[in-house]
Amino acid sequence: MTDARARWFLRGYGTAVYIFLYTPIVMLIVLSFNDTNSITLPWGGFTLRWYRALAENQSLFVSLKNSLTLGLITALLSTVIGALAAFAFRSRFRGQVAAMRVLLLPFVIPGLTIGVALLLLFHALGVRPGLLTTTLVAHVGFTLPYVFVLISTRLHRFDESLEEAAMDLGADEITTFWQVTFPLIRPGIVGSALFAFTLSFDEFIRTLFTIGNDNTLPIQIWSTLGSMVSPELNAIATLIVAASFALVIVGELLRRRER
Amino acid sequence: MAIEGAAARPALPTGAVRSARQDLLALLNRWGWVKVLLFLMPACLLLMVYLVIPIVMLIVMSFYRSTLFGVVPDFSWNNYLHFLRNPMFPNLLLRSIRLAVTVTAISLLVSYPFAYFLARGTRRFRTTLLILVMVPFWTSYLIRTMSWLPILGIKGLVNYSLMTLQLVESPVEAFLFNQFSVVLTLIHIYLPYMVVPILSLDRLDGRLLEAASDLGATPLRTFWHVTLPLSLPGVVGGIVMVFIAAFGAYVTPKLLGGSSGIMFGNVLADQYSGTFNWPFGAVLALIMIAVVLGLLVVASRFARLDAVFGARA
Repeated sequence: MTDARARWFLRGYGTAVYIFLYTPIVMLIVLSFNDTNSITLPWGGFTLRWYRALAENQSLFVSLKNSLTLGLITALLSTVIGALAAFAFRSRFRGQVAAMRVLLLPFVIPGLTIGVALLLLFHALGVRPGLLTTTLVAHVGFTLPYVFVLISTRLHRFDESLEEAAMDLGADEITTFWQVTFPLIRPGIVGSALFAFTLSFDEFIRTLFTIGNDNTLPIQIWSTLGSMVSPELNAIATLIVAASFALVIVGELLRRRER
Repeated sequence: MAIEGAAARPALPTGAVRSARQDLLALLNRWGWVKVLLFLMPACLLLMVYLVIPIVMLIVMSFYRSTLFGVVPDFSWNNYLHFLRNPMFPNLLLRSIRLAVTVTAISLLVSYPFAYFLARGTRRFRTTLLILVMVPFWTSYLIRTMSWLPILGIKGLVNYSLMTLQLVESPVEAFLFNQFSVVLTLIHIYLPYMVVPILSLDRLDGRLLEAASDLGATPLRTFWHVTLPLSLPGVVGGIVMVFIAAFGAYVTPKLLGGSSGIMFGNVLADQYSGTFNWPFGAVLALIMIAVVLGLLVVASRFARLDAVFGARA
């Protein structure tokens, strides 16, 4: 096989994988404008009525508001906690490798078992499950390792001679941090907060076991899937996909501006 | 020099505040570990509440007894024996492992050439193409699972196309609510978990390939001796991530699995929502964790997993 032919083969293959990845999502978007009562084909003409139905769905707005609140608080907390931990890992200390492994352990424990185990814990403690108590703990714990890794990677690439220069010029640690270090790593911090927000916004399984009677958007979608399946779901999904796209692009722009 | 520098300093707090601050800094400098400890404290506390204590709770609960009147503290191996005695549960475990292995293997077969394409086959649209892989990764897996309903269903896209092309006379029901739909959907959802580690760790330097071919290696030999070993840590990382995600699946088999596609996670969750047998559910959860940790032990023999997860200690 010649080089050119190999390249065309690879391109064709790449395109096929993208088609596989995107066909279901594109279908979902198309069907959200479908003027029938089922979530699948056949095509019954173009309509916006499912989006109008969304606008009148009160419980949906409550769960959306809950998801946004939870996502913002989660992002804030896990970014602060994760950044502190990442800074701790800049100095050498005994047991560093072991500590790192423990911090990364949540990556590999299936969410379902975490959800169940948290349910046991909160039940034993007699904590009433709720959005900003038990679920918040679950979400901050879930997002922490991601934030920690992202910020660590950023700090690892950080040029320490800039800080040394500031200190040589007489700035103390705190001044150096706010005047030199923080402005330089800010895009990384904002990016990881964004990531934590998205993770929290999409989280389902840990939420299911810790939320009690409250609702987040994924929980609301899940209970809707169990009862009535209407194109309204496609409309919600389309909006979420659009929001995710926007967030990824914003994140990518932030990352680029940093370079 | 030092004095001039001091004059140009940014405004600092003055008086008592300043000296307190300097005392604190001096203290932290003298005992570096105090700083480390202070900075690590919140993360440690959170990990205790999120991971350590809950898993201890699971272990304790797994020895308790479930009665008609609720859970009774006890120390008995009955829940573990219940798992072993009823062939349904070990069989379910094996079937879930088999499904997860299938998902992982196919994902690897699909992803490897795809990652190769992203790394070497494109130049102009590379960033865009990478973002397009990442976007589904950032979109709710609930939605990505749901999105297969209008594709595979009786009135779905596949049946619609088959009918239009007159390849079948009546809609095929075999696409949905079985192991096939579960495997297909899990591959779709977790493909980025495989592609991204292979890509990010693939520090494949074009010069190495040139060197190999200059020294007379055939493309196949180059691939076998240069490309493959260099990408191995990413491959191992991808295998670990996809297997764990697929093995721990709950939403996909519940929504698209029907009765034949049910997985370990569904029976585990049922102990907490349907049958309310918490002690037995704890046993199932611990078994799930044990399988995952076993995989990690095996995987760590082939690659440094710390690096796979981005750690740089």
